[in-house]
Amino acid sequence: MHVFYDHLTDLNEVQTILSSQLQPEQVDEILALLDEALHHHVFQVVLDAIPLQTHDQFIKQFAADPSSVDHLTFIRQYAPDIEDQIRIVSQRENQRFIDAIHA
Amino acid sequence: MAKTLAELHFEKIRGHALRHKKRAEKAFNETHRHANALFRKHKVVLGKIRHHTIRSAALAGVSVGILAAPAIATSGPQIAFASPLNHISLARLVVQDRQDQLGIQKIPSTDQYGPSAKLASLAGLVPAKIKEIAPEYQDNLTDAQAAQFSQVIQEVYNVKVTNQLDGVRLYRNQGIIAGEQHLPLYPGQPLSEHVSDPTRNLTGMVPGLPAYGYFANNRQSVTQLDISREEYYMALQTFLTPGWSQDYEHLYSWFKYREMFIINPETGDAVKVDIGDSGPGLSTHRQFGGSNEVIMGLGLGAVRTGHVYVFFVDPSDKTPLGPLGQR
Repeated sequence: MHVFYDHLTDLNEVQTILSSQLQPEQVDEILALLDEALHHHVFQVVLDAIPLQTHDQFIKQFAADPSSVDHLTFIRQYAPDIEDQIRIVSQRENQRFIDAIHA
Repeated sequence: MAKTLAELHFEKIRGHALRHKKRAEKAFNETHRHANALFRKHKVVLGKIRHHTIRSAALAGVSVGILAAPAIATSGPQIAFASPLNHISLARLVVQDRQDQLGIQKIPSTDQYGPSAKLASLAGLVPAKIKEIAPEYQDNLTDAQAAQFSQVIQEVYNVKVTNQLDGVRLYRNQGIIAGEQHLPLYPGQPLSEHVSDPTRNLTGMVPGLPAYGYFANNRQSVTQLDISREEYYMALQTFLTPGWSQDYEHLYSWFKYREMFIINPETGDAVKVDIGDSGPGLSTHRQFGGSNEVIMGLGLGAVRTGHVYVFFVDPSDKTPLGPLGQR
């Protein structure tokens, strides 16, 4: 169930907020939706960072083993700060959701 | 029954989460449209990547085995799930015999209406298992019951189903289904073109425009997918979905042609369908509708109505629409 950027994305803050308001199974349902959104946000950053002609091969290798650390090694060749970029987009989108539910 | 404040609060948050997800998907599609084709090529749904990793582990050798025991017949011959050829050869004879007994019209084609499913039904395995999971009919299965159903369906029909998808739950996942009329594929289509249904002249065509409009603008642009979607469509009371009034536009599109799994719990007959229309109306006291092909596939051809369970099909499932055989 792991993907190579799990250590860079963190839903703990959102989970804590939701847990104070919802039942556990409801929290799980919301987190599942946020997780799905997160994959799109991260891949937007990743595919922006690597050349277009490498996308097919990268997605093929990702599909074969989503958790491999080799993916980050590959991306770093083109974007040395890719881990920071993923961390930032994850934090930004989580905060956006938190702000929306508190609005 | 009026919703509690807690339920309303949850629905509000879920609405935010759904919109959050939708925005992410839209932004990704706008900037990396080509990537979606690449993900499909490599059999990955990006948002469901964690399910993909689970499936990869399963294919590596983890089996579920909930129905590992040989089929136990409550009547008729003892039948094990042997090779598909043995299934179909024997089942074909059984189906014809059953049709003779019921006095229903002979159905053209051989596997079109799921002889393998009828084999299982006569073996009594699937209905007995369903009865064990849900002894009484109830409007909605609990999450635990739904999970057990999903496991049985995966094991027997090789289709992955769920009672909630993208945060959306059905208003009811159990109820009464009845036959519906044909839908026009394009403006002005004659009923005579619905050749897959030998009883089409009795079934008829809806007089107005279906909820999702025509499948194609004209006859020339009709595709095989359009034909399959009309052939095996169901009507669903989408307007009763939790959260509908708050998120109507999104849910209207979300349900369009959404693939579903319907099973007749009395016989084990099952069909993979798509949502082609909204309804039936509340005054009918029915919860679901199905094309004639769907009704026949569910083994309800003689009576055209009966109890069914309905589930969402996982978007990664590639099974064609239509009656489902067994592994």
